[in-house]
Amino acid sequence: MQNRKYLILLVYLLLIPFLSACPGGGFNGPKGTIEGFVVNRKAGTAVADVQVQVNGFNFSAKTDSKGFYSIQAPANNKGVTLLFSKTGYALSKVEGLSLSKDETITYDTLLPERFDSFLPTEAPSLSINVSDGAVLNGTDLDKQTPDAFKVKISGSVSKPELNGFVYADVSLGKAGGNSGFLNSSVPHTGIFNFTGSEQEVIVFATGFDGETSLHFTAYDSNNNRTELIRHVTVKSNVPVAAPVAPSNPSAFAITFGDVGVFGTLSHTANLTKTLHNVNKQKLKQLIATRPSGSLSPQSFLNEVVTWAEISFTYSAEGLPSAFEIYRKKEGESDFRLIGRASPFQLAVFNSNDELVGFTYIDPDPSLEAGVKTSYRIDAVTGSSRKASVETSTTPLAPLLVTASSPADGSVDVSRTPTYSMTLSGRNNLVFYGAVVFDRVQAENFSEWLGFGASADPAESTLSLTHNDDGTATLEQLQAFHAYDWQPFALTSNGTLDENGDIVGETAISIAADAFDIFGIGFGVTDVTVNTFVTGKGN
Amino acid sequence: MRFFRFTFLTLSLFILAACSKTAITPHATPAPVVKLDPGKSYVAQELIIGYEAGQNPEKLAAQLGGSVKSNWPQINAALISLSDSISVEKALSEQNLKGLRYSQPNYAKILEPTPTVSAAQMRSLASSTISDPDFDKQWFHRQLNTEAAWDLGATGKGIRIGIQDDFIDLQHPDLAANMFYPGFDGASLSLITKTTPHNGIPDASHGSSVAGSAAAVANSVGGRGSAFEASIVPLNHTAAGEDGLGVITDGGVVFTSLFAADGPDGISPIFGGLNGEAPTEDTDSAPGTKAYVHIVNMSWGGRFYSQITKDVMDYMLLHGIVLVASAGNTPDTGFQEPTWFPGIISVAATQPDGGRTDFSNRGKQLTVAAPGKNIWVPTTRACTFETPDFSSCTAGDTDYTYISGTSFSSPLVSGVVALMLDASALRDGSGKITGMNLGPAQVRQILEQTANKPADYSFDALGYGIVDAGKAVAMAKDASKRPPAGANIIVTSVLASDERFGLGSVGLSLISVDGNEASEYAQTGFGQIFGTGMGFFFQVKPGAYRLLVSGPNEVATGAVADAQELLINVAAGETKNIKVALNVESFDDPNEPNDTTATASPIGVGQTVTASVYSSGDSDTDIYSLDVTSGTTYWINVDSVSGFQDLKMDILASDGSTVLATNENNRKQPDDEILPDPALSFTAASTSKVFIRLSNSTSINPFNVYQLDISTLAGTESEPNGSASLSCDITAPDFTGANALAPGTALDAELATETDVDIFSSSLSKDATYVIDLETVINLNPDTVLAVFAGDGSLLRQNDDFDYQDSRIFFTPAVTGNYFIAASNCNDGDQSSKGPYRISLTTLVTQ
Repeated sequence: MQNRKYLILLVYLLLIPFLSACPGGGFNGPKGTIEGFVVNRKAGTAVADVQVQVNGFNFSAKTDSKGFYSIQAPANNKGVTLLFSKTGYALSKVEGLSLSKDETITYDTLLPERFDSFLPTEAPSLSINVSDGAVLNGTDLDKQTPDAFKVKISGSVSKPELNGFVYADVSLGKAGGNSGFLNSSVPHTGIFNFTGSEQEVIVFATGFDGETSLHFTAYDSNNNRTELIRHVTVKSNVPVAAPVAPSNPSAFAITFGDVGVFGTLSHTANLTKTLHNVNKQKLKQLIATRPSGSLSPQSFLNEVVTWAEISFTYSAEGLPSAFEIYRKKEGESDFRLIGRASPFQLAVFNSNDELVGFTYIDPDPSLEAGVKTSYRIDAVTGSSRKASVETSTTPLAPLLVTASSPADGSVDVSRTPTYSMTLSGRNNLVFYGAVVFDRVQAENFSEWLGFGASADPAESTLSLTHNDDGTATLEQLQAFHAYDWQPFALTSNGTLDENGDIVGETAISIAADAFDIFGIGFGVTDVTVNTFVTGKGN
Repeated sequence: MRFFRFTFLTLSLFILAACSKTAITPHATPAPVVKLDPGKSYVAQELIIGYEAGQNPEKLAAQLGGSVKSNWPQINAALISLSDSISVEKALSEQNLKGLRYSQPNYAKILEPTPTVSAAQMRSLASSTISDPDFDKQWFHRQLNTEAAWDLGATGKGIRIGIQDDFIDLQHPDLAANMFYPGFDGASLSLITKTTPHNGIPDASHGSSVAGSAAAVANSVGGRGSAFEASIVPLNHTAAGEDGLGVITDGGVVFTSLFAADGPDGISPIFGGLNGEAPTEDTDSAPGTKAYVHIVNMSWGGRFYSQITKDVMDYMLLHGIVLVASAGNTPDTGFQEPTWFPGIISVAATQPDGGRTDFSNRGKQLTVAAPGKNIWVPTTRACTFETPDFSSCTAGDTDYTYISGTSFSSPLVSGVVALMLDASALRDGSGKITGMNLGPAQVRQILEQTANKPADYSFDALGYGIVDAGKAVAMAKDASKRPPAGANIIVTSVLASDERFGLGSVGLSLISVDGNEASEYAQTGFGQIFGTGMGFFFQVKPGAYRLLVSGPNEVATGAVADAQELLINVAAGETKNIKVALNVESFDDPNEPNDTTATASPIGVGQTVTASVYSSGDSDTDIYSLDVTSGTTYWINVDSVSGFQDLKMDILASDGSTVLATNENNRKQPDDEILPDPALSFTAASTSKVFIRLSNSTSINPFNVYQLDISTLAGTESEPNGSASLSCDITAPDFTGANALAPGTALDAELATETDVDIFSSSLSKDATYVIDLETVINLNPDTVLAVFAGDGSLLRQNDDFDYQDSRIFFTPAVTGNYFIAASNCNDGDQSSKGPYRISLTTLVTQ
């Protein structure tokens, strides 16, 4: 009897190692929460129904219609890895997230569609010679790169006989990317010819003094993405002063109707705000050479990118170490840190090279049309900080424009045509126009730039009659001659005062603007151009 | 005892089940190959059963006709392997066995769709071993079906593809063996030979990737192009810009295009050579053809029509060259040259799923589409940039890259065209090519008819569809399927009142009557390559068209003409010549005849006359007579209104032959720009009559219209003479200190600074039309602006550039009174200038 009892106990004891080795649902350790948004490109469109998994643990979640996920993950762990996947899409992986018990951290990611179904949907493997907890000193390397430090990166793709890297990026604070403009507020170095072989990369420490995160992100030719995160302490040596509160903060949201513009061909943030000041002399006639366009991100004709520009001034003798940007969306209880950059990173200069202020570009995927988003800017030096007052913007929905008439390929068109367009998604104000060229069978003549404004929210069909302002090159188009016309259109949440000036505008949405008439800095070139031939007329 | 055992088992089951709930699945374990029951979604010859607790699964398996493959006692289930004598359906029907809780097929998990052809299989499909190690990274071969074309024996061998692009890395290991020399450098105007070094422009890598897409070599390096044995003829069109980076120049395009047709001997088998060589003296055309190359690939373009580009494209088409161009990466639907020009194959870009890429241009002008994203091809090696003479390059330097753009879709199709020409070539008994069987329009039609239309196809995105090299080559080989040859339409537009004169800048639109083809557009030229007034639609599809003729461009020429339309029909292979005579309002010179001193037209001080350099003969000289007073200085100025005259002015003494003064150009300008008109200040030595003789060195033309102003030089301005705000407009004038300027006089002045504004005041009559003219003598300094204001400061007239940088205004006052004339420079922040000028005020003689 006694022996049998012990035998049973022995069996139980033997079972225990088996039990504790069992994976998954039985995780009883401390947990935290990771949440965030998944989009298909920087500042792009949400991806719903993305499967999110904690690698090696039985935690999973799915993104909702806004691309939002919330997942539990082991806390106090040596680097949590998340995997993001969906049928038809590439694979996105992040390694090195860390969280404490009951803490909620934010992690947003990009999950593009896979490029080719014959290519593997596996995330590349990456390494960096920086470990968690490292201290990185910014030094004046070669007397030419102030306040920089070097890291060594390498990686390999799955199935190199089919696949290769197309881009890699090393950044501070958050992941960078190959869009110059959209990543302009992130201190980052992009490598466009990354092969995976070990190479040294220089990153600038300016503006970072203290604990931050270092990110190494890479994409392969199937759009698979891996991001490594290392929590580091960075020391910058640039002289800094005690902070004062940043002043005159303003937030402005831009919904931009062309996603192909943002890639290696993009600008840096040197913004000139001449919105709606239609500058006809800006209508330059360029002969464009075809760019090799090596990394245009995917775009579709009705897709948009949305970002917010947070501008402010700073009146003090010396600059702080950094500006930190905090954001709170309607419905959230607290402001949260979304970015940190040095004053030099955010500085804006006029054409005389004078500093006129600072602007932070927020392309984060959580920006939603119709949701009020508030910002605050802190000037930070060491442990001292001074905050600005709050400012807010509510991004607008995409504006779509159809150039209805004269239609593409139409013949026997009136010699004084009415250029008609229909809009969907407009807000209070719409500024629109038609650009008419004689360039299909003649050298380089701009025929007319017509312009109009509409303050009636119900008005969705807009028209301009040729030469209605008397500025057309020809009062009447030539008979039996080929011309082309294209619309440009912008909607704004502002209103017009009694002088006809725009007031209260904090967000715009642009459907078409191939020549950057609205002065954003680059044009929305994804437009319909209609070529037509006039009739004989009278 | 029993109780304990039960408890032990139950407890352990409970714990184990909870722990391993998600780890165990009833589905097949991941074996390397899972064989499904034919036509079914479950595994063949397998079954899953659930059994009662305590039941032995082996016994049940035997009863069902199989044996246990895996047992899962934790959940009382087992995977049974059935013997071949019993089917799954049969085993499933045995549901009433004692101890059997349930049975079901072993369903296969639906995985993500796997490609029907694995990478390993792809390689083995090739007719011979694919030697290139990176072949599997070149997804475009799969979509283009190039291997099927190669299986038909087509490789592009013997076909020359001109790559009109930036400088190629000529010794790149995956390009060198296919390079064909000489090529041509349109920047330095010299031949490119086997020993030519790289041109050193630091961003010149585009051409290497374009060349590689068409014809990278089949070897043990990198990948291969679509026509891996075709010949690559380098045609560099790029020069170094101000910043040292490459710029495509008009000259680069023009000279390489002419070279593509004429070859290094410079002799066209159609037109002969520039030095008078006969066409029969041509030595270097490709066998049986009329051109040096068979194909030219153009992965470049611009947003505006350019006549010189149209002319050289037509020149190449006339010589039978197949032209392939990238559609552009804007991605709008608007005009792009040269890809929109008639007769050219326009290629859009696709991605692996068969859709267009984000950047690919769209619209009615597309022909076909081909892969254009993540194209893995050669690029200019780093060692070539470091040492343009390749001295630091080693065998191991074989740089490759992923690259995207319609720039690469186009050469992939150029390579396919090379395969088609190879497959269909005329050959002699030994297999040597002796001629071509396909013209450009036939090539285009074969590509259109054999293109693939994927699931979400639209013409707007892909033209006729995605190129299928296998099907295109098969059709090219089949003489019975040859499409009709292209038709050529040559339009010559002439002046109805004098048909000797061709009319340039006439817009031509070719609209297909059945609406099945995109409209084609052209303009008649000004005699740069072809005769003035000629416009072309080469290699269009035969059929019925409306030809719409718009008259000379009103904006460019100022001419007003009637517009006409014709209905035409062209047959396959036909060249149709059409003459269109247009009634253009042309100027009738009221001063004629005035070709001799005897018939000289009198002109007075303070007058502006309008005349033209035109006659019914070959030349026209205009002579005016002017009574002069001793000691007076006359300002005699000519301004062209329209046309292409190049006038010389002689002042003749009263004897009609002694030349007292001469001027051809009042200002020195860069050589390649339109030369300025003549002007003279002439001080009379005696009171007499002089003659002003204007002779022309260009050909006569009814549109050669000019004006002649006569005034007396009254002195110099006196500063300060007013101020105003400047952009390229003059605004907010302050007339304080304005200098008097009487009609019939001229004053010397100077814009001392970029903000200097000179204001003059004049009493003007409402019964006259006045001509206010500014003449400068230094190129672009100043670039003048001129404005007329009423006394209250309101702006009445303004002009920036009437004649190059000089301003000129015609003004008829509404009321007689005092007016202010302001002169300054175009100063808008981007530009400004200063310098001396002369202002004159005369009255227009109207007849």
